[in-house]
Amino acid sequence: MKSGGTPSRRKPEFYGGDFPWAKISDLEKSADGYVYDTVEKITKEALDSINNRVFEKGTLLLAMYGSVGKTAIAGIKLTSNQAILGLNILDDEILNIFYLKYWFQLTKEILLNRAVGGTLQNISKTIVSNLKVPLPKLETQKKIAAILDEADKLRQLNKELIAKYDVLTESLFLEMFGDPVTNHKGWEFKTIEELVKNKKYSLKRGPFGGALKKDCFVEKGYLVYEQYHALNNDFSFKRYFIDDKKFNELKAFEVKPRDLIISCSGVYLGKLAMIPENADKGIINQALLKVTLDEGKMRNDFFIFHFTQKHFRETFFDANRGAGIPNFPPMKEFKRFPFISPPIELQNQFAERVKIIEKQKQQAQESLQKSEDLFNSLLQKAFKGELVKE
Amino acid sequence: MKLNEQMITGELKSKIDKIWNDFWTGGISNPLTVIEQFTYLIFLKQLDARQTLAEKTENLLGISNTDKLYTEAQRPLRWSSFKEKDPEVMFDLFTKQQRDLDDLTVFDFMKNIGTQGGVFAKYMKGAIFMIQSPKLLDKVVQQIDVLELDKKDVKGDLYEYMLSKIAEAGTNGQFRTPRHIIRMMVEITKPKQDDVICDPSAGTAGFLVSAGQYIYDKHQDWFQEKEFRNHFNNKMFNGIEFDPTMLRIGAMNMQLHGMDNPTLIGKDALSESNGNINEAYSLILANPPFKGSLDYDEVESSLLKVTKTKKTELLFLALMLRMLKTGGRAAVIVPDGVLFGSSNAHKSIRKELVENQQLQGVISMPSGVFKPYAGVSTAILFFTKTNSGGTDNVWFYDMKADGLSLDDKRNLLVNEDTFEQCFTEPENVKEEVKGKCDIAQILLDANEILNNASLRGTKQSVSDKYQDRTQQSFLVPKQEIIDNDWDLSINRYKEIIYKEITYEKPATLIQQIKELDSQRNDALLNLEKMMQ
Repeated sequence: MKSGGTPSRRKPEFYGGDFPWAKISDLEKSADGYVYDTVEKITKEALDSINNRVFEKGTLLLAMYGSVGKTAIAGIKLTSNQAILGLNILDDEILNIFYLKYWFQLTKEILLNRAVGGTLQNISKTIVSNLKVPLPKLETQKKIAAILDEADKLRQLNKELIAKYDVLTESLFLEMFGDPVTNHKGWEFKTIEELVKNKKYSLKRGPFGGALKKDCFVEKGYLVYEQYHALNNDFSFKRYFIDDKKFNELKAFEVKPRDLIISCSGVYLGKLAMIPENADKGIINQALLKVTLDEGKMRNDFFIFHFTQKHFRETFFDANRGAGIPNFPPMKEFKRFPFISPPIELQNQFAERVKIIEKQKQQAQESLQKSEDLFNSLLQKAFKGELVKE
Repeated sequence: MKLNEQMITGELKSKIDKIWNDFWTGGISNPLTVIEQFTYLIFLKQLDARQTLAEKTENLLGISNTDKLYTEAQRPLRWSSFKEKDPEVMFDLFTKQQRDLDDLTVFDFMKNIGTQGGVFAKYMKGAIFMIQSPKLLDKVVQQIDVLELDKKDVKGDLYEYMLSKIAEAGTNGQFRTPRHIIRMMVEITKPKQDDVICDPSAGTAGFLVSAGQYIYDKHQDWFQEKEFRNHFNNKMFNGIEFDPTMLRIGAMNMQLHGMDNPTLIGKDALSESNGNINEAYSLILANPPFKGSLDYDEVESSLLKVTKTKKTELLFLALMLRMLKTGGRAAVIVPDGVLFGSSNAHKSIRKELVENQQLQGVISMPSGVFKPYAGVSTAILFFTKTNSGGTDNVWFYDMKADGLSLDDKRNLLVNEDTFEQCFTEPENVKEEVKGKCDIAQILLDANEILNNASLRGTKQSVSDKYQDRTQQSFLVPKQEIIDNDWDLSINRYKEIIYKEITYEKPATLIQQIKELDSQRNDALLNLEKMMQ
C-alpha cells in the first residue's frame, strides 16, 4: 500500500513524457471502473524524481483527497499523484480485489466521517491501514463482487440510455431542420422582430441597473425575475420583490406566462427559460431579455432549441466574439440575428416527437433511480452477510 | 518562475529582494519611491567609483585629472567614506547641512553635480531624500555596497529586476509593459543603423533599453565606426515622459544599460509645449497611456485636427504621425477600443492610418498580457508614415499565448532557454512552443510578410499563403477594411472553424436505444438469477 507523488511542476520538461500519471479526475472519469489512460503523462526522469512509485496493472486505486473513497482499478501500469493510494492484495487467495473495491464504496461514508481537515476532507494512509475488512470465504467474496458488478452494469446502462435520449432530440432537430446557421435546407430567415407578437414590449431588455437598486426591494409584492430563473428553469425561487408603485413605473418590463427570458451577461450568457403558466406577476431585472413570441410563427420550444444550437451560439454571441467579459450583443445587433423559420406544422410535429422522447427519458430516469437504489441496497446487504449465504 | 528572474542569478535576486523588503519594513511602501531612493544610492556609489578611477589615472600618469567630481575637502560626502561611519553620523551627512562642507549634504551634492555627473544628473531637479531612519539608511547602503555595479550585463538586469517589482507590488497604476512584448516589437521593427528612435511615453524606458540591447546583440560590428558610436550615445534614443520620478528611473535604467547620453524630455508629450517636435524620428516604439482623458485646451492643436477627442490613446497616435519623419515606422500598443470604436475620432484616426499612411500589421494580444495590473485587451499596430497612402494587404495575427500563463500569476509556460530561443531561433522552437508561446511564429510570419524576407516568395505567393482566415495569421485587403469603417479588430475578419457536431441519424439512435433496453433486461434477469 503506497501513494503516488507529484514531480516538480517547476520543471516543465518532466511533463509530456509517456508514462501515465493518474490524478483523481482520471478516476472520476473512468466509466467502467478501470483506468486505461491518464490526461497527463510524465517522463522517465520525472518518475525517478518521485521514487518510482509505480502501480502495476490490477492495483486498486483509492482517492484520499477530494472525492474521498472513489475507487478504480489500474487497467495499465501507471503512477499517480499523492492524492491516490494504491493497494495491492498480499494474498489473493484470501482477499478478492473487486470485493475490496465494493467494500470501499460502502465504507466511504465511514471514511468521510473520519476524514480530517476543513474544506477538503482528506483521509490518510494510516486511517486506511487501520480499517478492518470483513473476510468471508473467497468463493463468497467473488460471488458478492459478481452480483454487484451486474447491478452496477444495470445502472450504467440506464445512464447511457438517458444520454441517448438527449442525443436523439438533438439529432431529430438537425434531421428535421438542419443547421440553423448554414441553413442548407433553405428555410426562410426571419429576424426576431418578425417573430415576436405584434405588441408593445414584446421584445424588451431589462431596466438599467440604476432603475432597480437593492433599496427598491420590499418583503412582499411583485417578483423580480433574475438570471437564476433563466439558468435553472426553476420558478419556485423567489428572492426580490418590488411594490405597486415601482411595478407600475417599470411596467414595460413585466413578464407574462409563456414569455421567454434570456440571460444576457456573464458565463451563463444566452441561457433561457419559459415563464410557466402559474408564475408570479413580476418584472425582469437588468440581466435579462424578454421575448414574447408570436407562437403562430415560431413555437417557444422551437426557439429554445434554435437558440441553444452550438453553431448558432458560436456564430452570434459566444464569448470568443468580444473581448473581456462575455456580454450579449447590443439590441441593434440582436435584431439582425437570422432565425430559420420552418412552417409551424413542422415545428408542431417536432414538438410532438420531442414530447414522446421526453416521456421515455422520464421513464429511463425513474428506472435509473430505481437501479441506483437497488445497487445501494445490494451493497449494504452484501457486507452484512445477508446477500450471499455462506 | 517569473520572466525577469531568468536574467540574473538567484543569489543576486535574493539580495535585491532583501533590499526591497528592508525599504518596505522601513516604512517606504510606494514601490516607485523605493526604486527612486534605491536609484539615488546607486548613483552615489557610481559617483564615488568614478572619482576613484579618476584618482587612479592621476596617480598613474602623474597629471591632474579634470574628471574629478569631489574635492579633497568633500571626501566625507563620498560613498567610500560615509559607508564606514556609524548609522547616525551617516544619516546626518545625508540630512543635515554640513557647516564645514559649505553647508552641503551628501544628497545636495548629488543634486547639484550637474552635467559633470553624467546624463542622469540632469534629471535630479526635485529629487527628495525620503529615507526616514539611520538604521534603514545604513542597512541599505551596506547591501548596495556589495552589489556588483561594474559589470554592464549585470547592472542593467539587476535594475530591470528591481523594476519588475513594481508589477508585483501591483499598487501603482503605472503600466510597465512586459519586457518580452517590447522585445517582440523591437525584433519586428528591426532598428536600423541610422534610426532615430523615440518613445513618447517612455516610463521606465523599457522600449529604448530593449532597442539598444537589440543593437548590441545583433550589430556589434556597427560599434567599430566612430560615427555610429556617436550616434548611438547621443542621438539615437529619445524619450518623453511627464512624470519626473519616472524620468529619473528611466534615465538610470538607460545609463545602467550602457546608453550614455540619451535625450529624455520632461514634458507632457501631447501638450503645446512639446509642439515643436515635428518629423524628428524614424522609429517610434510605445505603449502610450490608455483611458486618460484630457481637456481640449491641454492638447496641442494640430493633434485635434487629426482626431478630435479627449482620449489619450487616440491623441498619441496623432502625435506619432506628427513626430515621425516621412518614411518613419511605428510599433504601438493600443487598447482594443481603438480598433473598433465607432466615434468620429476613432474612425478618423483609423482612416488616416489606413488611407493616408501605410498600415502594415495588427497583432491582437490576449487580454492577460498586462496582468496583474489590468485585464485589458490590446493590440500592436505597425505602420509607416508616408503621407501618401500605400496600405496594401494588412497582416493580422491572433496572438493567443505569450509564453506566460494568462492569469494573475503569469508563470512561464516553457523553460527559460526555450523562451529565449523564441527570439533567437524561432524556426527551431516554433513546434515545441505551439499553443504556449506564439512569439516564435509571429516573428517568422512578420519577417516573411512585413520585411519581405522570403527570398523565393514573391508578393503573390505570400498573399496566397496567408489567405486562410481560420488560421491565426492572415492578410486582409485594404478595401475590405475600408468597407468595414476601417475596423481593425481581428474578430471582424477571422473565421471560426465550426466543427460540425455529427449526431447519428435518429433511426440509428432508436435502434441503439432498443439495444440498450434489451441489455438492461438481460442484466436484470441475470441479477435475479444470481440472487436465487
